[in-house]
Amino acid sequence: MKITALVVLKPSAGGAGGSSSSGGQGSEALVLANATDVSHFGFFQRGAAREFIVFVARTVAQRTQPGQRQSVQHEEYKVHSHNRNGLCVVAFMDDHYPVRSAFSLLNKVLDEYQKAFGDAWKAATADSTQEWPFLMEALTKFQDPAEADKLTKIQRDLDETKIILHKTIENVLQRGERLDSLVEKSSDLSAASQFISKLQRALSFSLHIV
Amino acid sequence: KQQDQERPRMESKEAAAAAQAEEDLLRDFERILHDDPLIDEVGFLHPTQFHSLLVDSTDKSTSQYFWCVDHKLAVSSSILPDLYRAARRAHSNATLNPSSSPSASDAALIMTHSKALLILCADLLTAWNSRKMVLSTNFNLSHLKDELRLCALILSYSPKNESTWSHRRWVIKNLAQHLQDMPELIDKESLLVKDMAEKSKMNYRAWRHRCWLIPYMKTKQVLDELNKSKKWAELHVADNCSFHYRRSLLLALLDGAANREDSLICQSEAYLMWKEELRWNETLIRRYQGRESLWNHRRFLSQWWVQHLLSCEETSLSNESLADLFLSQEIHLLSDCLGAPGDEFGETRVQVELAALYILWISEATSSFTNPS
Repeated sequence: MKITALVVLKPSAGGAGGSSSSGGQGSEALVLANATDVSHFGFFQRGAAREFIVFVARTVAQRTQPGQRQSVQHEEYKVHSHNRNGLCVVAFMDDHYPVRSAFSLLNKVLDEYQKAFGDAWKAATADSTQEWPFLMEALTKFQDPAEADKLTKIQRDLDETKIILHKTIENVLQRGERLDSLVEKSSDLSAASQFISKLQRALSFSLHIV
Repeated sequence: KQQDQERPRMESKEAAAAAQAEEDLLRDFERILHDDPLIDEVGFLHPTQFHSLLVDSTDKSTSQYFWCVDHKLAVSSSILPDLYRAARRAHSNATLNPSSSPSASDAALIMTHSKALLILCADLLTAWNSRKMVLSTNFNLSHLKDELRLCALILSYSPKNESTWSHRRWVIKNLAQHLQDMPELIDKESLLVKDMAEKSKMNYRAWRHRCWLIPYMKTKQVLDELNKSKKWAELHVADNCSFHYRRSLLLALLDGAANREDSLICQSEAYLMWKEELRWNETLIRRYQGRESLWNHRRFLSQWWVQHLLSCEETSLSNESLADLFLSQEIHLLSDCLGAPGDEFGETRVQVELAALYILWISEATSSFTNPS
């Protein structure tokens, strides 16, 4: 089963909504670590795919409250997000990766991140460029959900936690927020990617009418 | 009156200039294709995206509509209509007088123009056929291998294109008549399908191509394929095509058991494979809730298994019915599914439905075996 990306982020304390990644009021989450595998995309789509992943990760992480777990359906991906005490992990998996296994993996990533970097992330004010090999290895190792299931020592714990489901990414946004404006304001997406995003949405809108 | 005479001349001059521009585009395109025979991916990019490619590129290529680096070719979509028109015209001219033995230069023109045309529109059967005509004049191994490369190139952006898959099969049939090492060729084809399937899910045409190769396989390769494709199927449990491929392989084993010299080996291998497949399928059913393709696969496996057990019983001395034992294990699976705790994703409910349908189906199937009416 494909894990396309694992991203560790620090949601900004200022609340959701905004444009830049450099802090300040109404800002978006900061990226602390990022492992992405876009090899299954066509060569010419990989750049845009990477950009979209960062954009969606930031958007979802910023709107995941501490202690919350949520899963968002976005095209053919499920985006899983877990915020533990202000440190957030977002995973992009294909539709058939069992959700509980996904959250077992997210737990593991959070544990490992704190082991590797302690609390240094709390002081972060910008995206981190630091390499974290564990994350890339995890992408490959946990492609098989059976590996992720081995991580959960006490299944009961996970069974009892509530996971919020969202059918679309729009449902994650706060009241009054629109995906279009977030796309436009985002510095993650190049002009070309923004154009593709608009085109996709225009096309899906026309499909709904039919 | 002079103005009336001038207007058509002006228009025909403009038309001629436009046609020349189109031909220049085609010439550039064909030159790039010729200079790099190892191109393995083509992208048709919107001008905005194409522009950012040019900007990022360190190698300032001379063309403003084509970009080719490291065997990856990008074409700006703004020129596609013109390019297509030019390719179509050129190909038509080259095939005006079709001959079963074209001259070398005519053949070269047909191949060049059809290649350009097919990359732009892979559905043109006339173009594919013109290539077949040229290739049929005599057997040329390296040309046929080039053909496979062209198909792979088109499939890289059109993985479900039936005309391309069909042409690929024509090439393989030709190769099969002259080649000794079919197993290696089949291995490569299987690998190609696997890579395609990774990038385009539920690609029925790719998997059907893989199934088409099975009759060319000897027993050993069938067993190898079953082993090699197992992990992939396990990691893509919603992709019914990969399980269909496994079913075809298992059936080939049974066929071998009935018809071939190594039939005893086939039969014992089939029995072992079947048993293992049932066990593996159950593990997956328990792990991935509500996956219809897994239950479909189980129906296929159980059907033959029950028939096999019943036929064994006829010659067995024991009182115990192996078929009954198997069925009670299946009911045990059903009750486990019924007892699983509900979840907010609705998957357990689907699992229960599928399990119940399965038990209904198999009890009917079994009674029809034991009481054929």
